[in-house]
Parts: sequence; structure tokens; C-alpha cells
Amino acid sequence: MATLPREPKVLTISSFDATLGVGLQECRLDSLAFIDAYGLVGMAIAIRAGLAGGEKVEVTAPARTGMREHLAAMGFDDLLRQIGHPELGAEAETMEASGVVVPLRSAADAGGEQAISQLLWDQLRDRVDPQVLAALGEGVWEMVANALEHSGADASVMAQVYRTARFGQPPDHDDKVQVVIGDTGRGIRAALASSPAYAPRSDLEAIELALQYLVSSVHEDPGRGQGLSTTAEHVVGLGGKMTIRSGEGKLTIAGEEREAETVTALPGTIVSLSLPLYPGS
Amino acid sequence: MPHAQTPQHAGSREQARELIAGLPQPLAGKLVAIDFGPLLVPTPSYCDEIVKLVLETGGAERLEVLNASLRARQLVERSAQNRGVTGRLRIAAAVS
Repeated sequence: MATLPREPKVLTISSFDATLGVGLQECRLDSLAFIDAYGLVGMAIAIRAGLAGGEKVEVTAPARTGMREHLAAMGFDDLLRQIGHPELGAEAETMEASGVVVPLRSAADAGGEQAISQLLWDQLRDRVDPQVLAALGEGVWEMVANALEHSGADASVMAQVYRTARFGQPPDHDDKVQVVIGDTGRGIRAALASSPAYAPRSDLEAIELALQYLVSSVHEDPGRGQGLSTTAEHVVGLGGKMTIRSGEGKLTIAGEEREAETVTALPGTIVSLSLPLYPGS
Repeated sequence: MPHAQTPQHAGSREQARELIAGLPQPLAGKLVAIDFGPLLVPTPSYCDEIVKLVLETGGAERLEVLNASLRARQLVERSAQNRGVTGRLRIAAAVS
């Protein structure tokens, strides 16, 4: 049985990678104060995968920490209802304060990539730089479509704005928006290996390969394989960061830097797109 | 001349197929105009599928792209280059 430890206080990209993986049966959120979008989508995927494997997953979050409200604001109650878990209970009014712009959604339930993209557009069009909105919109279209077409599973999506500026103050250069798309499917390595053209030897190698322009499992059409590489180029070009996690591989790209890691195995793929709200400010 | 206008929210290959399926067929030998003006978020997949269906598999004489944003223009041109049909692509007007 895999469980979340009582530390760290904040479940983010790095802490999530260290604590969540295959076989999750219990999420103890007692001491957590905050879960970012990457952590939440990852947790949702681990839970869905556990359920698909016939496991019963328990999620506990005591009210005193504020975690219930945070999870409700991020749309996590919907997932809990799906798995027949008692609702954690919280008021929706906390959503604005937490900066959630797209609560955790199943792409299929929401109506596919168009509905998700439109929701993102409606929520962010007056809040972020138009270039950032275009890059995120492009990324959501491409990543959700990739998940639905290549993974063999539904996609989970959520978006959140992280604000560091105080009310009434000009936007701070540290403000950012993060969109995360995850699925519980077969993963990038298996998808590419379904093409006779590719035989990646590891998840990390598969991620690196998939990031190359015109590399796709749809080998019948040489024009395919533009979405992931072009999105990465677009996001990084605006000063953003892209993280791709699939199987045991994880690659983060920011500027000229690439950080490759081998992490705890997780079914499917998670892509995180993080951008400053106002590039260059 | 067969012509179509993109919707505001479109980005998948399937939506590109729907757009092109709405044109009088066959496209072979014709001039085809696509107005990208309403499109809010151009994506590589959407633009590539249009180029593919009109110029590569459709065999149109020319694809005329109207009112494309800079990003849409870049994506369409890149796809035309990948598919070796740049000579039959015309970007008629660009907006910022």
C-alpha cells in the first residue's frame, strides 16, 4: 500500500513525484496545506488507476487544515463523488480566492477538447497576456487531443492562477498560470512503440523522442507529430516551463535547461504548462 | 471558388475535417479559400489538417489563407513546408 506521508506540507511537483505512484490506496492529507494543479491531477490519476485496478481508495482531509475547502475549490469533490467517497464538504465561494480557473475536469465529461479550451479562454481572457492565453490554449487543444487519441483513456484537466501580487498592486513578475493535463492511459513509450518506426528503451527516452518535431505514433502520415514539440517551443519561448511525466520518466524544460529524472512509476501521462501571466514584466 | 470560415473555437484535426468536408467536393484543381479571421487559438494540428486535406490529399490548385494571425500563418506555412506544397499556398492577408 502506498500512502502519502505527513510531510511535506505542500504537495507540489517534486513532493508528488516522491510520494505518489502505482498502488495508491490511501491519501492522508492531514498535514498538507496546499496542493498545486500538478499534484492534484497526479493524485486524481493515481486514484483513478487504483479504482480501475479494483482497489478501494480512501481520501482523508480534516477540516481544520483548510484542505477540504481547497480541494472543493479545485473541483476534487466531483472525483470523490465518482468513486463513491463521502464528500469532503466545502463552500464554493473559496474558488475565487484560490485562483482556480478550471476546476479538475474529465475532458470526456466536459465535452472534449473544445469545451475545455473554451472554458479556459472564457476564464482567462481578461486575466493574462494574450500571448500566454494563445500558448495555453494551443497546449490544451494539443495535449487533450493527444490523450484522447493516443492514450486510450480519458484526460483530466485543471488550471490555476498563482498570484503573488497584493490586491490593488500592479501584476508581479512572479505571477503565473499553470495548466495540467493528465491521463491514465498507456503512456508515451507504449504509444510510440505501437509504430514500427520507434522502439524507445525507456520512458525518458520516449518523452525525449516525442518532443522531436514530426515524431508520432501515427506513422502513416508523415505530417503528424507537431503538437507536443510546438507547444513546448511556444511555452518555453514565452518564458514558461513545461513538465512531462510518463511512466517512470519525467522531463522539465525551461529556457535552455532540460531536467531529466527517473521517478516513481505512474500509469499514463501528465503534462504541466506553466507560464508567467505577463511575460517580460 | 470553394471557401469556408473557421469557427472561433477550433483546434482539433477532427474539426478541420468537418470544415473541409463542408466544401463542395472534389477540391482537385480548384482554388480554395479559408478565412482564419474568427479563429481565437490556432493549433498545429488544426492548421496541418487543413493544409493536408486541401493541398495534399485534396489536390487543390491553391489554398488561399485569409485574415490569419501571425501564429496561424506560421503554423500553416510550416505544415505546407513539411508536406511539400508551399508553392500552392498563398497567405492573402495577415493581422497581428
